[in-house]
Amino acid sequence: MTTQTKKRLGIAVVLILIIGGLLMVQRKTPFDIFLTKDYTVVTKDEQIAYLKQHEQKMTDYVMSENSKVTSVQWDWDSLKIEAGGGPITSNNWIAIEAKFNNIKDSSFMAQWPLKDEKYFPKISDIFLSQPLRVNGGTKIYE
Amino acid sequence: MSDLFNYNNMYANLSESAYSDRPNNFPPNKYKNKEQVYDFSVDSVYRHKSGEVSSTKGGTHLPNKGIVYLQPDKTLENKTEYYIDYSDTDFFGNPQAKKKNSQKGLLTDEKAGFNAYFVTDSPTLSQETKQTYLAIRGSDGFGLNTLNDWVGNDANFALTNAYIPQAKLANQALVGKIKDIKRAAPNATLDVTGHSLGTMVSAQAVAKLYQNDDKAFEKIGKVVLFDGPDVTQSLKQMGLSDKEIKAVGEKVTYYVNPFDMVSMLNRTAPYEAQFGKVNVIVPLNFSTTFDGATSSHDFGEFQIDAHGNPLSASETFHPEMLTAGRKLAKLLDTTFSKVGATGIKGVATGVILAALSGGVGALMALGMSALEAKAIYDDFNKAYKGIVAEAKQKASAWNQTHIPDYQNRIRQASGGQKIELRAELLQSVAQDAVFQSEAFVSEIKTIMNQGLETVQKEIQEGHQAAHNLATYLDSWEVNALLAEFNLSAFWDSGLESDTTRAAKAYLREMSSVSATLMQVSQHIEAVDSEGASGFNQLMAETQANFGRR
Repeated sequence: MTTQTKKRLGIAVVLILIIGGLLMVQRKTPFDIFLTKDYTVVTKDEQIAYLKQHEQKMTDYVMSENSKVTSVQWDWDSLKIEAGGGPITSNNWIAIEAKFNNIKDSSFMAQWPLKDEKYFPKISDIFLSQPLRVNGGTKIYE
Repeated sequence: MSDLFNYNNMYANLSESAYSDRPNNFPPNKYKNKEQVYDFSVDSVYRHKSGEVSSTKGGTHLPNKGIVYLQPDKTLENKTEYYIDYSDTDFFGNPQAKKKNSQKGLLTDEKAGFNAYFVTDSPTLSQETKQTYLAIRGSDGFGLNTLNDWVGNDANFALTNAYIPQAKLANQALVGKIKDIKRAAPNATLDVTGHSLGTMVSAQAVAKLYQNDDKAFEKIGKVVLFDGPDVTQSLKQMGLSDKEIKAVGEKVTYYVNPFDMVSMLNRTAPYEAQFGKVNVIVPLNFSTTFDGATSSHDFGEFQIDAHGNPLSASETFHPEMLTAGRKLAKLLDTTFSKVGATGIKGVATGVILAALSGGVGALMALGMSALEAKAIYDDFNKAYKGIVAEAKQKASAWNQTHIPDYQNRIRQASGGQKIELRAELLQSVAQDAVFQSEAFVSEIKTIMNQGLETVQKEIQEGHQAAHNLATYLDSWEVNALLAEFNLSAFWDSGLESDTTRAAKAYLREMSSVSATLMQVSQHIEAVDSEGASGFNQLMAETQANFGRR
């Protein structure tokens, strides 16, 4: 390889890096995904998978709140990550609905505070935000 | 944030439940297809999304024993909207199509920030239904962190003198629900309740109903509103005459906190001349709107008795609260004029309110210079805190003068009056106990600081004198003389912190006793009938719960 060729090759490499870099900065390449997707945000599916790992602890908590509860049927798809509160403060939380004792029309809701969307909840922070209801919600479960 | 201490007032219960991070909240059940039962007669404990835990005592003397049913909104649907986002283009420079989901129905318009809840005292609307309610939610997260939303989205937070968009939606909700009631529950009336921005929405919607259809207006029972501004000017702009405003106002009752910016907005006119019957409450704490855990804009500041009446000021009971409210109203008015004078126009009052809470930086965000912003903010902040501090002093003076009177008044009073006077007395004694212990703690601190100063001064003088002798001694001899002459030898910092700790413990203990007395004053009737055992039980309960709120 002559000195001339080496120089040309060097310049070409530098040019490719600069142009490539510019394109990446402009975020208009098929590789955008690496720049635009925030991999630190926990997705709904990841939250569900995480809660499923701790299902027993969650169920134990509900049973400790009401001794007549013998089983809990979590509705994983109902999981919601929300923000709000009012009137003074606004916070993030994660909530999930469930049925219990295999009663068809039973319901309640459990929730956890969430620091922000990049975090998983602390399982022991679980709290029943809606009481145990039956008959489609029209009656409070004794 | 602070929740209601008890569920004795159904309107306060429903207004609180309209928010999402509150005990017995309605929002998650909005999507259910059957009515959902709520029982406000039982005690509740709630873990807030911030982690704070609060407890609320079940209500007494509630209509239908505290049982209500949140009705499903069958018109509610998920709307998906597609729009072109020109700020986001692809590799070839083409704008992107995006989709957005929002909820819309008769009682909900997520985009407009309108959320209402229809509640009844029977499972479904029927001949049996006596009472129905429409609870209208205020704004979520009224604070600095949402300031940008406020500036960018006036529609959600406008508190200007106009018929606001959410009120139009609330009016449609009233019309729709009254139609349902007339058809299915001819014996029922519809009460309306709300907090904060929800009060403006409620008041304007009800006034519009009166304007458009006075027959439908007859179905409205009571309108009970908490912590909201006066709307007289906006009703005039909507075309209501003074006489009409008065007629609508007959059904409207406000409970406002004299230290709350939102409550005192537009309230420069005498209270009697304002829209509805205005009650200025005697709040639990002496704090401003943005004092976090004890915010004057929150539900925990209402001291509600067993029959659901929030403790309110009058010319004969803590009149300093009436004065404080008037002063805050005037201060807000002056401050808005000052903001206007900087040339800023077209900014909603609500945004200015939020900006004031956010300090100099937030005011600058509205477009004024740093100098102007600082001048306006500093003046406002000083005067606002001054109003609260002055009221506290006057409340203390009022207690000193009036507590001795009460015994005579109680002796001369008849049954019902007696109970009321005793409740007032207990409340005043409780407040006074905290005032006195606060004064005691601050006195101890002052004495200790003075003592420390004196000792330090003595030591300094000693060192000086020793160094003056240095002409006759070597420097090491001077230092050796002074080695033991230092603060630790003469000031027992352990004792100091023990004393401070003891004083703080005393304040805590007194606050606990005070909280107990306040609870007793709210339930004086029950305690009275149960005698000493009732008192002791309440005392034990309150002390056990103290500090958990």
